[in-house]
Amino acid sequence: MSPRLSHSAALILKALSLGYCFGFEIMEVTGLPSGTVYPSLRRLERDKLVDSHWESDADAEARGRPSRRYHIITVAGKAANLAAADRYPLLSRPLPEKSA
Amino acid sequence: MKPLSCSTLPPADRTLLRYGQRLVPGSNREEWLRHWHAELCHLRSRASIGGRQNLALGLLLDAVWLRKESWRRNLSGSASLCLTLLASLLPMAALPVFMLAGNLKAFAAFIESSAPSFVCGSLPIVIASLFTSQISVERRGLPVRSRIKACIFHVCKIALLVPLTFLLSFDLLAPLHPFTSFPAFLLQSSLFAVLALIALRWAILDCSLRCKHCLRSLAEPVRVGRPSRNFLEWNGFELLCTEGHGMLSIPEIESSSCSASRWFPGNRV
Repeated sequence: MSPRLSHSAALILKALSLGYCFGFEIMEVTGLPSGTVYPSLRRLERDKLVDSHWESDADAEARGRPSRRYHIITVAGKAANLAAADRYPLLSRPLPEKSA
Repeated sequence: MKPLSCSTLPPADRTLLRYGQRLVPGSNREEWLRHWHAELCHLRSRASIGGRQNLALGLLLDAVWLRKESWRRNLSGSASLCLTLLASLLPMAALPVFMLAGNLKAFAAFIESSAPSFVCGSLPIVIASLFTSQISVERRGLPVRSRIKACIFHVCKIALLVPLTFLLSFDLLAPLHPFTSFPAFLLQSSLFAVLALIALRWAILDCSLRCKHCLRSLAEPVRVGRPSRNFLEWNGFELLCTEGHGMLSIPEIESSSCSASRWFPGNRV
């Protein structure tokens, strides 16, 4: 059974499912404040709806910045995202898909 | 992991990180610093959203969330949480009696007058429930320290539960007291016996389903074997300690090879 998500958590999950994978991007695309996005990402990760990994040091060095922490949606997260779409019809409002 | 350096960040960000990290538990601190260092560096390279103040709230709330989560993990199912909850219920159960008494002096007089009936009533109940309890766990190989800790926990729990049920029985029958003193006393004694027996049964069951090392409630119950009463089949439940101290195996039926629940320490699981 998919866990019941708050509206903001569902919105974050939707952004992740569209390919936005770090906190800053999610803030930008959802319009949610950082005080909501970062604790929500932690909660989603604790509930195993989201997984995270660090960018390799070599990649980060090549781009001249510190390594970032990326978040990806898990299989359970995808199921929760679908369930949340039924619960929150406003979530069907399209978010722009991330350009490659 | 590369060593962390905050030298590239402006002083305001470095101050934010320095104070924010104090909120983060030690085990998460390095990762948290690395994460927020990267986020703050990224903010400086982009001017499209928010502002430093906006990200500062996220940084602080992230640190607070980690601290809160660490407390939740440490406390959930722990023996200290169980005892704290029971201890906090005691004054709540005493409050209606105190209100009925009207003042502290009358309340103290009530406690004094109830003490003999409390002692006489509770002792047989405690002894009866301890001797009639059939729940047993093989504790061979457990260190003496763990046994003493478990014993202290059992005693403290019983010591809190018995007065709690005594006060609760008074609270439930409080409206009867001013009118029918003697029948109310009999009714209250019976209710106390029933409540205390239920509470002590729960206490014994709860103690048997706790880790034998850290006394944390065991989690993730898993059924082993098919639901059956077949003597030759191995059926039962297995529960794990979330801290990895061991596993409790509870057989569904008693047999000569396995008459009681068995505790398997972590290195044998």
